[in-house]
Amino acid sequence: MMLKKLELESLQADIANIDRLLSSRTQAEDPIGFFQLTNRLAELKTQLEAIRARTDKLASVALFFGGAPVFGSRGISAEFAGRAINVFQDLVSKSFAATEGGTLGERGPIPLRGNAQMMLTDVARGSFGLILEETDANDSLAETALHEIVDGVTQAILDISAPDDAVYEAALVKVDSRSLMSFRDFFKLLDDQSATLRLVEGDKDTELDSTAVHRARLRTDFINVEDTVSDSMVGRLTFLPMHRRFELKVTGSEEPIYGTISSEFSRERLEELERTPNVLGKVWKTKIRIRETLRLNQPPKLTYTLMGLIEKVED
Amino acid sequence: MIPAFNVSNVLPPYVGANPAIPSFFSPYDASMVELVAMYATSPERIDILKGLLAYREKLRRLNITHGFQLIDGSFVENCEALRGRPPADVDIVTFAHVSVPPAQVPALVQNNLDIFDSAQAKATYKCDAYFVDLNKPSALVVSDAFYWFGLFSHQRVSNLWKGMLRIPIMSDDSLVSLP
Repeated sequence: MMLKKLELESLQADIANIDRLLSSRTQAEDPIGFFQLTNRLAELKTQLEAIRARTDKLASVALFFGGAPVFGSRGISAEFAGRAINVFQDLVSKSFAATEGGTLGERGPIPLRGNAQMMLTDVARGSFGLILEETDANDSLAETALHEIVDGVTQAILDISAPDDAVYEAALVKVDSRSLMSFRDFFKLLDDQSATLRLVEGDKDTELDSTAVHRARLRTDFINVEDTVSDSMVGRLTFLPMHRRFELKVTGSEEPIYGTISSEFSRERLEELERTPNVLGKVWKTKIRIRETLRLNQPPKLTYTLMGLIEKVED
Repeated sequence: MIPAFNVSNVLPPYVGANPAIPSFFSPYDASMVELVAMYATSPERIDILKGLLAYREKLRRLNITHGFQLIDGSFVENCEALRGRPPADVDIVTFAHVSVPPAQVPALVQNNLDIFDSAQAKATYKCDAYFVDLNKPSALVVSDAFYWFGLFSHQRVSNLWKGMLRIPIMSDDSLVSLP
């Protein structure tokens, strides 16, 4: 399976080439070439549309590295490449475990590690690209869980390195503390080795130059998150299913807390709760994850994630 | 001479310690007997070779004899190892002089779509076939040669540099024996 985006690029280049060849001749001076290239152009455009319409079910990502570890299109430092793949796989495994298996412990073996394994299936020359794919013996009818995880990991890489602090802050809320360490390792490796990255996954095709890499490194270097889960937060609850946001007016406190709703609540479940009488606006005992984010030279920041509704409490 | 597949399971772009020696650089000159000896390794590949022989025979019947073919695609890769299946066809580009005056070329094409229409050539001969008429303006011949050589010498997406074969239209086809 080839990465859709890279396939599209290759086809688009071929189509542009044929366009140029066709525009350089008339049917009269080259009837055979004109006939064949016209047909080929139509065929390639059909292929292009078919690829555009295709939904890739299995996870795949291309990591193109540039900068100091890469030697033109000849090669890449073996040590760097090995470490980069290792750290990226680690990111994927931890994210998979945290999403599929519930909250990941601060240490210890990573559960479901085998289910998150990706294969190095190809290299792409030009700058040096490593193509990682999920392999599945059976044809998947729907996007696999790993596909979703890799999509999330690559988005997090982009968000953590984004120039906009708000984008970074929003990404931070979604990353579990153990995965954060792997993001830190990833950006530290790139930054220490003066490497740049072009990341191609799904419809994403983004380049992180040395500024972006360094920015992400600084953000993840001096950050520590500590998560605790409280089963005893009681308050009046409201939420916005479309935005996956909640507000809890905590009993006995003047200030409400607000935050995101855990991915463990499906959108359908949230919409059902919104429609069910005597849910919203009522007092609930809730399960809340409280994340304390510690950053260098900044006061600690608390963020909240609604993990569950335990029981309704009489007003 | 047809080299063996390299570790990437494709024809190497060159062989030997000195890529400056012409015979060691792609495209590798070969005969039909050599092609068959190297690649007639399965029923599917034998079918494709029979198609290629028939295509070439048709060219000669149309008095198209001065020229050569570039042979490429999954047929000259270890498709079985790379993709877990045999090749479906062989990619060829024929560089040759057509045997009719320019004014008759459109009719030649329309009367022989099994040769000049790549979709029909694929269906009839299992050849994904294109034709570069060497009688046309030389600038166009050169442009087309650049295009096909560039396309054939690299894999899509991976940009892997790979080799291809060159076989004259007039070769030892009559000596080929296939089951």
